[in-house]
Amino acid sequence: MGELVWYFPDSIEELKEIVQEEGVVVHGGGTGLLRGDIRRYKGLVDLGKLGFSYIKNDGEFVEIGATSTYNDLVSFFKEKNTKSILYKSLLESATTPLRNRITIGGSVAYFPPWSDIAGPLLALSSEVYLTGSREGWFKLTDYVQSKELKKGTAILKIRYEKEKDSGYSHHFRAVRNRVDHPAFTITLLMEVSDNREIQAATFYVVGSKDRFKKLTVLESQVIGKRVDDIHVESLSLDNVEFYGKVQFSPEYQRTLFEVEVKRGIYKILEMVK
Amino acid sequence: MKGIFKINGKELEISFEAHKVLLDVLRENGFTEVKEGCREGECGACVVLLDGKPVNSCQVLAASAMGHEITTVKGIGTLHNPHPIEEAFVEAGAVQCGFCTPGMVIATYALLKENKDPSDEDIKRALDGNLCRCTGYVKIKKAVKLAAKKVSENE
Ligand SMILES: Cc1cc2nc3c(=O)[nH]c(=O)nc-3n(C[C@H](O)[C@H](O)[C@H](O)COP(=O)(O)OP(=O)(O)OC[C@H]3O[C@@H](n4cnc5c(N)ncnc54)[C@H](O)[C@@H]3O)c2cc1C
Ligand code: FES
Ligand code: FES
Repeated sequence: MGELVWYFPDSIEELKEIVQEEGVVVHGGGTGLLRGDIRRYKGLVDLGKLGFSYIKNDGEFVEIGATSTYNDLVSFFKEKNTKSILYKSLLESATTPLRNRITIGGSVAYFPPWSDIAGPLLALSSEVYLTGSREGWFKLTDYVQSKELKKGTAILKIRYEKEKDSGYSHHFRAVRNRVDHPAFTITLLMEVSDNREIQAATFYVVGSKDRFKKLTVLESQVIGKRVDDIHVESLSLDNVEFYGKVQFSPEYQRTLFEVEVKRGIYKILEMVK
Repeated sequence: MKGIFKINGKELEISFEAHKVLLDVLRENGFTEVKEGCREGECGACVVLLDGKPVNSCQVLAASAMGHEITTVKGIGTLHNPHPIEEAFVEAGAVQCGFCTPGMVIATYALLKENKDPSDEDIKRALDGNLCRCTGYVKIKKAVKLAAKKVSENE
């Protein structure tokens, strides 16, 4: 094994070339990379000099530069939109010193089952901007499932439509204590009209056997219904399965999932009422 | 590889292996006030300020910290000239074995820079990445409140 080489490109053109080299990977905050032996890589490319630590909120989209940290987002939403699902989820994630280090780009690329950002970004129908062997905006759902989109690319920014994050929301983390990694998370987003009709519902579980799952069975039972006509207890749930994890057995996770999805919907309906 | 590190206000040229974390590079170069606990980002013993923000130095690859401002607990106060936060920790009885204290002091320093009069909830949140096996946290919370008072009086 030769010594690992660090690259600090100061232009996108330079990054584009480096990121396509065999054995070179992007360094975000490093907290995920350090779970393995980084000596297996030939090189690490740091995006720090490229100016991707920003959050823009001025147009139709919220756009997040890839090197923004969890705490950058928390501070941003604390000022701009405390109802944001991302604010709720990131406020609870990891710990203060880790939130100062974990980047959004690294978290999207790594996409661990315990991620607190994965569910909200999926529910917001986010897109990622890639450079390298592929260039342009891609759906987050495509990116996380495609080896081809990940190979030789770096995420530069992430965006979602601002409007999507303006409804009612709930985020649940299956943890044993406040600083635990979640065994799984549940994200619920709902848009409700003035006449109390549910116009849109997007529900995700992250950390299930399928990595993540859109709860379409559940969504279809609430969309188009009036809030007062929903009987939470009689809603039937999607078939979601879990692997055993250090925190909880598969059976316990399934039970917790059933209870917490319904509790989350109930809480949102209470907010509307 | 070689790099310039700005530690406690001084620039140092350090040779280190490219895969090393900041915790090791600091300790191997004499900054043993930065403590090594879990090495997994969970205990907070290794917390330092990186560009003014607390981070777990065991979770930071050293190369990525080159050129950035690094502050250890010795950059805040010294044995003979302690920072009011350090005095507060001693006066409140928040130091027993002392292993967690450098990280606690750094986390408190970062909190009080942003928030001069933190509530119990603010303190809990700011110190959520720092574990203490001895004190039970009650005296640590008291120390942070006392530190807030001392810091405001000193200004
Ligand atoms: C103790 C601990 C507790 C944690 N708890 C939580 C928690 O509760 N909730 C939570 O959400 N997260 C948590 N995390 C963070 C999570 O586990 C990952 O470590 C983190 O999301 C990775 O982000 P990073 O910026 O550090 O990425 P890195 O470690 O830098 O990179 C991770 C992967 O992404 C790739 N990558 C990085 N940036 C980019 C980019 N811009 N483009 C393309 N690829 C890229 C890297 O090559 C690597 O493969 C925790 C981490 C630790 C250490
Ligand atoms: S040694 Fe770094 S967090 Fe424990
Ligand atoms: S005083 Fe011993 S760990 Fe905190």
